[in-house]
Amino acid sequence: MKLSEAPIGAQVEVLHIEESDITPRLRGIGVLPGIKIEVLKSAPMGDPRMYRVFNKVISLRNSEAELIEVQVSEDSPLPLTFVSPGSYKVEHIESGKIARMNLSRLGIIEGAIVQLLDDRRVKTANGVHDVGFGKLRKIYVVPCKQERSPEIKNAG
Amino acid sequence: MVITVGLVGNPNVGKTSLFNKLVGARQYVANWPGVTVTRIEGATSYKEQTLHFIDLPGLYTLSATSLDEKVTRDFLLYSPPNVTIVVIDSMSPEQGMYLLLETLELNLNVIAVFNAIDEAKKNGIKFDKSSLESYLRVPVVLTSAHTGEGITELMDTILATFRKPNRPKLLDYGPEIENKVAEFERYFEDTYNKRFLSLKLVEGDKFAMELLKKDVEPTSVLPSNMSDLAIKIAKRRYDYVTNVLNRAMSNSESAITSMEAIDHVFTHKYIGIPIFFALMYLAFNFTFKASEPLVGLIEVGFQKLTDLIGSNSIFTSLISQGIINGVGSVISFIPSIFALFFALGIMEESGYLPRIAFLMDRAMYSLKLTGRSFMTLLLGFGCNVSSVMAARGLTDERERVTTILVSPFVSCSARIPVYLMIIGIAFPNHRAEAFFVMYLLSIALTALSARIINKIVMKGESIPLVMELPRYRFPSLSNVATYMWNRGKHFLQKAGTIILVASVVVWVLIYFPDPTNVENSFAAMIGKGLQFIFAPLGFQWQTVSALIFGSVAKEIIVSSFAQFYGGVGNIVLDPVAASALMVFILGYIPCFATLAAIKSETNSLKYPVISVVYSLSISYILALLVSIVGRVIV
Ligand SMILES: Nc1nc2c(ncn2[C@@H]2O[C@H](COP(=O)(O)OP(=O)(O)OP(=O)(O)O)[C@@H](O)[C@H]2O)c(=O)[nH]1
Ligand SMILES: [Mg+2]
Repeated sequence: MKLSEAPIGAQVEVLHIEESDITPRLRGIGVLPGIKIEVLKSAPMGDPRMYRVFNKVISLRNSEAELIEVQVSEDSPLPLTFVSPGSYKVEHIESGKIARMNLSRLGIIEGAIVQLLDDRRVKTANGVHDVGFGKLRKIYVVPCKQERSPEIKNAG
Repeated sequence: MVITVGLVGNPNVGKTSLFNKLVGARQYVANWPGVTVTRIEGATSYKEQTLHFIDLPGLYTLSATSLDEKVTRDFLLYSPPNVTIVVIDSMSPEQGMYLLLETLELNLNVIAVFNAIDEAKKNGIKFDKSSLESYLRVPVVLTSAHTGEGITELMDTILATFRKPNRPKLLDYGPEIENKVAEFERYFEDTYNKRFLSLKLVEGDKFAMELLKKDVEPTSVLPSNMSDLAIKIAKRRYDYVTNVLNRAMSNSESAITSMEAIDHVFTHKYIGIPIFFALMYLAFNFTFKASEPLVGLIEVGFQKLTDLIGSNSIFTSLISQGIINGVGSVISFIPSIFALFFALGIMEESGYLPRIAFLMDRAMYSLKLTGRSFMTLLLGFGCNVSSVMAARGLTDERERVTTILVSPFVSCSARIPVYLMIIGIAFPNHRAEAFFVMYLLSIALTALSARIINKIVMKGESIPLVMELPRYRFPSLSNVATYMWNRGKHFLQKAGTIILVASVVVWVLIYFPDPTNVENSFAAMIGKGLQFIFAPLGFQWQTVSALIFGSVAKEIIVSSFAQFYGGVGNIVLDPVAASALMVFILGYIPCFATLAAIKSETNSLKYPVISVVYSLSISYILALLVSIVGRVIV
């Protein structure tokens, strides 16, 4: 996937960079194959976006980010809209207080284990809910390790 | 014995702050990358040695692309200093250490300085100095330009390094690259640093290609897989850096600071831009309100003084009218100028400025500019010369020239006295609003001009933008006060020099040949002679003469008006003529200092000429529009 398409909040690993006028500067900043980049946030209308490279924050236009081929890192949190059905741990929720409260009523809080079903509904400790695309996008999860799933069943 | 010491490093790591600490200077420091765009020199003596420091523009790699970066590269390459200090940000050391490794390829005598160590400590970052030294094989000093930590140690290290130079060769890039480097060395003249240049050539650096021997064709020698090699070289350096830091730096997970929480709002997708405009409004309102009582007080004071002296003889007239009334009318607005610089100082020191560039970048697409040039133009609210200079940080030449050419339309602080005077006369009940409208107009005119210039003068495509967003810093009162004083004192100097001289000249033109009636003066003759040009705008001769004198520096408009009418209080202007006048003044001609800066920064006479012709025509057209529409409404 291109860096410009990576979801906000994700951590990605650079695979390949297409040569352009700014590649020397990008190399100097550390945008190189094998390096991890964090997608921080986007400006109005989705362009440009902020990225973290090592500990520096840089702004890149999508037209330049397109030249950078990346893959999402294994342990990177991703929004629920971005992952395939399965069982996940909620890493963080990118919302204001009210939205958080509403989600917590459904059993979606940071640290909780949830299951994304095939029909994009979410199964939590207290039932199956239709959360809606807008909210799903704000819930960042990491995949659950296989051996931990029996524990969840016991807990549920 | 003079020891030359160069300061290099990434942008915004505190090179100039260190320079100021080391030589006791007060050079321009701010929390955004690309503040320093020329080399700045200063000397101090320490332990009977003279240390000559050279502060340089920041860069990420010696493969320089923008003008300011080239200043640094050329300095290191053509006049290497005795000691080179590579300043590294302790909070993000990777990129700085990358530059350190590149600098070591130049075979320089290097000291690595980890600056902002105070911030690192607060965030739980620790460095093991001796292992840094053993892995990097150069002396390491941990400093803070804010608390002064490590500064004396740095001075001692400079002396020691000078006495016992060490130029370590750290990295071996492996046979594939090293063979190429060795092969390429013969393409360069002996006078150059051949290893550095051939390594740069392998990296595909354009500058290294230019320095090839005359008979060498770049296309015939360069390898086809050059971009792979460039990546391998950079990877090798970053791998080394990461390894060193793994061993020599410990990092406890840092919590989100309150400043980062604020950033969520400041750079918010939807409310970020409205917040920016609200803050702008606040800043200009503050400029207006905070200084108002003081302005009034000074005005009254000068008025009393003029009355006291009277103007019966030629001598008392020169003193009371020419000097006190002429210069005093400008000086009384200086508190407003200081207030504006106070607000700008907070914006520049906090780290908010580059966030505005981030927010506005998208909107600048349509003007074929970047958010970075928006940020550069914002500096012009202080002084247009600053933005013309700061444009050096723009990588694209077309963008740089466009930014320079539209800079004069950003309403600089020298125009504040003029607006305040006119607004006070023509819109006494809506002063703050009228003041803000002028700023909105200024932004609109700047954008319009960028469009026109891009269409006519420089046709071009949109350009890439890679910009660092520095961390927020809480602006300390003393920093902001220094900033305000540094920038504002310029106006006091101006008042004592150019404005004083111009006021006396205007006084002479008013006093002669007929001291009793200003209508018969030379100044009136000039104004009346040229009045026909401005007749459609409804300007009186006084306005015409003031505009002519004001082309030197805008404040002189105020000084001339004050003298024509014998004090600011006696001036009459109807609202329509006043509006047309303010619109005309907003654009009509860049001051001499700005024109000189445009000439030197573009290295040609063409652009200052374009600037004068264009600005005169556009402001005439706009002022005409205002006066036509105004007459219809009123
Ligand atoms: N806390 C802290 N802040 C620092 C230190 N050194 C510099 N700063 C701040 O960092 C910002 C940048 O400082 P400058 O001295 O302008 O940096 P520079 O390296 O000259 O930047 P450019 O000229 O843009 O390349 C300013 O806001 C300084 O106040 C330090 O040691 N500690
Ligand atoms: Mg500097």
